[in-house]
Amino acid sequence: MSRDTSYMDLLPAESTSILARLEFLARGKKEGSISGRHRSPKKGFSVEFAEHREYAPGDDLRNLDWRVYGKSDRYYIKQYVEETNLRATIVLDASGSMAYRGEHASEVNSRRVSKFEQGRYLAAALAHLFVRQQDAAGLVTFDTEIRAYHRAAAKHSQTHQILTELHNTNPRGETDLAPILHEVAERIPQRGLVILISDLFDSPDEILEALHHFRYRNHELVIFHIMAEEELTFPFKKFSHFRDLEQPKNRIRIEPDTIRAAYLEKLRAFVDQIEIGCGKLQADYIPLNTKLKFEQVLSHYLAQRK
Amino acid sequence: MLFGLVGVAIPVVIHLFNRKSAHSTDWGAMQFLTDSMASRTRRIQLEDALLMATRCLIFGMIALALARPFAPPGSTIPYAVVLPALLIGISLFAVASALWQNRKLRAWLLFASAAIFLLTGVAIFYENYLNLRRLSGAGEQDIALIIDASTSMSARPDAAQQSNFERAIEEARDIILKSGSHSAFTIIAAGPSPLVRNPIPWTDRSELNDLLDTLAPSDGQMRGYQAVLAASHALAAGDHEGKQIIVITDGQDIGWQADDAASWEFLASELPDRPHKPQLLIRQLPLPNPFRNLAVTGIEFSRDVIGVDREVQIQVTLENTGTEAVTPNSVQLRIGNQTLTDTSLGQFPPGLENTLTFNHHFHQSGAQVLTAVADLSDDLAMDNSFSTAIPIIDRLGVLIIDGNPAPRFFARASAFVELALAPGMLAQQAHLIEPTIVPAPQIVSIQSFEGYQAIILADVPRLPAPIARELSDYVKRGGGLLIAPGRRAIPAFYNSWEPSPAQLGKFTIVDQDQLAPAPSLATFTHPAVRKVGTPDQSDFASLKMAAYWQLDTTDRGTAVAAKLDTGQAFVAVRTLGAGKVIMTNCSLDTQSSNIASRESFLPFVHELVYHIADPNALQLNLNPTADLSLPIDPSATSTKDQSVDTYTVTDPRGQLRQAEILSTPQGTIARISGGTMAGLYEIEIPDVAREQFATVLTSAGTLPFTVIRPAEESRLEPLTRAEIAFMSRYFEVLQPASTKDVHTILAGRSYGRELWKHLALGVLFLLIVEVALARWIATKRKTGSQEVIDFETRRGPKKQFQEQLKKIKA
Repeated sequence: MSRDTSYMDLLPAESTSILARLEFLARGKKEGSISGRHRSPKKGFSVEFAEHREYAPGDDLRNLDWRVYGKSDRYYIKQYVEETNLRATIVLDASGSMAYRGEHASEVNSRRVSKFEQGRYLAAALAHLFVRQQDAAGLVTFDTEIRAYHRAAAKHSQTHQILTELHNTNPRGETDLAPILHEVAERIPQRGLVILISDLFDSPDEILEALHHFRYRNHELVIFHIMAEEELTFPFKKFSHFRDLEQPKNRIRIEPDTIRAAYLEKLRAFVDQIEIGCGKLQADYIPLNTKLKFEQVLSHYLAQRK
Repeated sequence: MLFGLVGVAIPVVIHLFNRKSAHSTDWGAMQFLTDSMASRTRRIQLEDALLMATRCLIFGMIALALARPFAPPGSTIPYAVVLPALLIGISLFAVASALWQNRKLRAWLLFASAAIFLLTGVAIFYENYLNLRRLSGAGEQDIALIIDASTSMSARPDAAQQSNFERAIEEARDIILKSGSHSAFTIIAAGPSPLVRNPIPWTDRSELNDLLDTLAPSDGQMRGYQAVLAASHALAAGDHEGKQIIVITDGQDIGWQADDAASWEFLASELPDRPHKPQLLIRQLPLPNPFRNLAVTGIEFSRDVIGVDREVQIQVTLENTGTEAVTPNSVQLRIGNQTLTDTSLGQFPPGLENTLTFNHHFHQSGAQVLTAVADLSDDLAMDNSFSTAIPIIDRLGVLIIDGNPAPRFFARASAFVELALAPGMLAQQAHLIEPTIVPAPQIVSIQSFEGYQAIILADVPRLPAPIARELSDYVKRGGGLLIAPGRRAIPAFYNSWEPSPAQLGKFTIVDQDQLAPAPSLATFTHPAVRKVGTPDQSDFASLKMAAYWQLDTTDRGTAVAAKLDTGQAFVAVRTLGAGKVIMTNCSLDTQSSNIASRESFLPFVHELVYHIADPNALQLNLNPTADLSLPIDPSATSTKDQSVDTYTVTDPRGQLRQAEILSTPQGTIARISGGTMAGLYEIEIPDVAREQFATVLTSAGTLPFTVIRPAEESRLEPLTRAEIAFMSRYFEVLQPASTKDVHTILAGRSYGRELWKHLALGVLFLLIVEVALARWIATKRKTGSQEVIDFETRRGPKKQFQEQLKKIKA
């Protein structure tokens, strides 16, 4: 019985050395069932003191702070911050537009990556990272609808599951990003970490509204905005025939020069709006150009987070 | 030529090829593309359409310019319809190809473009069809080549080596040589009458060339109208369907009759119009300018009837018709062997007309030829001389039949008439008119009326029937009759007598106290009385009628030559057969009026007698007519035309010709073939016929006559635009500027103003526009396209960080 380990390609050797040094810390409080290295909103067993509370009948006397009683004759209960594990859900956009593979993209395993592949490597790395630090990692992939949903779990087999899922996912179909994000927001248990990896190609207003939904559900949001270099610079010169990756029937024949200015203007407005919107939502917005190595961007981000 | 328009497709093909070879890209960020497109499409399409239209127009106009189109003067279709339509069609086509993606618009534009091209094609075809109709048989046509052989064609414009006539012959040769080998030509030398050299068009080039060799400039005007008429008849004899008329002329307006609508309508109806009317190509050679010319334009005599009895004044008119002053050395007047010379002439400034007077006494009767010659060298030598022929008479026999042969001379009805006719009688002088008096009662004694040129019935009551009949025949044969009825006249006789011009009505006797009627001078319009009707020279206004007849002139073809101030007829004139009859309303004696005491009585009687006796009945100085025919004996008539004889004629060039003597209902005429030219002709009359023409023969036994050269011929007045426009109403008149144009027209191609220069300028302009447009569009598009979106650099790892990372990796 041979085991198919090709999914392990998603954790390329060249990046594992960097990944090994990283850890992902949640900001704010996360609810979880296993004690871990993240703070939980619940008070519980921990070494870290949280606050005093007046004794009330029924409280465990073990938590009575005798030292305070000795000083002030009052009964106070010592409360400790409960440390919990992180429930991170990685939301990966697998729609058609993510299949774009530019000329300037960086190489992983000697192969230029598409936007989706870049996102997939990133998702794999993150999943690996979370499980390794004993946090729960989940995965949602979607195109026109949610394609796969793996609830966040901290078990070791989770990495394997996520990686296999990622490995078997290919970009296809049309994104209607906003409604799907709403759905994802509903389905993920509250107070988790949501990492959205997408090109966000939809109406920015609607996307921001959907992101707001995550915040409403008390999720911490990290958004990896994947764009290809070509999409950012529109460098085409010759008369071209642009075929929509999401709807192959949709084509545009155009002289690229004629609309470059308008295109760049629209794109800039889009990126700006998303970034500003994310800022307002206190979501982490990480632009990820496929020409850069994902582990660099990731490690830089994580380094900043600390 | 329009295949070049395929070149228009070049930018379109490049454009479409560019699109076909479009590099295909799978694209994710479609929403931005679509958005950008939505906001820019219209502008882009507009820019593309403009650019493409400009480029296509450049190619189209280059193609058109290379095709060297012409704007023909005869038709507005090529430049008013075809050219703009082509350009619009090209533009639409270009716009359609630029908007290829917009299927609906593209279809519409292509449809419109195709429709315009189709219409253009139809217009071209129609134009060609018109041309083809004109020139069916592709250059095989009958061409009438009219060569102006007028006097002025011998001038050399601008001191050229060639005269205009020589140049015309050369151009004619060129036209014949270079036209289609099947084209047939008729050559017409157009002088005062057109001379059709080959009445059936020929195709043989060498024969045509030989024929051209024999052409020589004629003298006199070109009668263009007649020439075209002759050409139309000649063309009708040709086999080809295409007909053209080419006139090579110096473009004088004389002879074209370009104000005579009736004639031109007739001409237009005479032209062969199947399958279409010929065009009239007027190839104008330049008129000489400056022009130095003195012309002898006429010889006139102080009297109409010139006898051997006394001197006559001869007036020679000279006119400077040029643009520069000239001074003749002398002017000579040659009369027979005599030469009169006037050397007293000064300078003639341009436009000056001067009359020289010579006095001469002719001593010999018969025809005399006078030639006036101005001795100088100028641009037009031919009009330096002018000839005229005049019959000199030695005797005019007049028979007066006196109805009142009273014993007293002055009581006779014939007395004053006799005195008036021969005033020298009393002085025993020789006189031209020889009156013979026969009293009415002795009338039967007259054997014959021949030998008298005129008979006067002076108050004759009636004539015996045989005499009346004989007199009537005499008049019909050409004799003259003057009837002066007085109180003795019997109306019943005159009213039933054939020669009588009028019915005698009421006989009016004016009472002493009544106002006597007088002749009204203003009514003296007839040639017979015109000279005595001149108010400042005539005293007939003081004439008082005492007794007169009322003349009823209806029904006899009679003209009232003069009237009384009461409106009644004073003098009535009619012709009967070859003769003329005049009737006065009163007798010409003292009983009917005071006419005999008027000073104008003498010329009055003379004029009446000259008119009926008609000593100059043979008009020896002719205005040119279509065929040169000279009436030589009006009295010898026949019921139908028949050839009587053939005489030899010497023409103005000294060449011998034949004169066919024809007996016609209008009398005997001499018809001379071979074209008319101005100058002196002399018909040799054989001995047997000399008696018949005795009064008009020269001493050498010839009958001379001249064809008049009009003074206008020397004045070189060119055809005006209005005259050309007039002709254009009946013809398509073209004015080719060179023989090359003539060939172009004959070949059926359009010709006229060349348009390629305008097109080339248009191309240049469009090139500039294209460059400007392309630059402007490029600049517009560049704006903002260099923008760099600050994406990953803002939050992404800095260089430093990346280096650290590498170190870690290592």
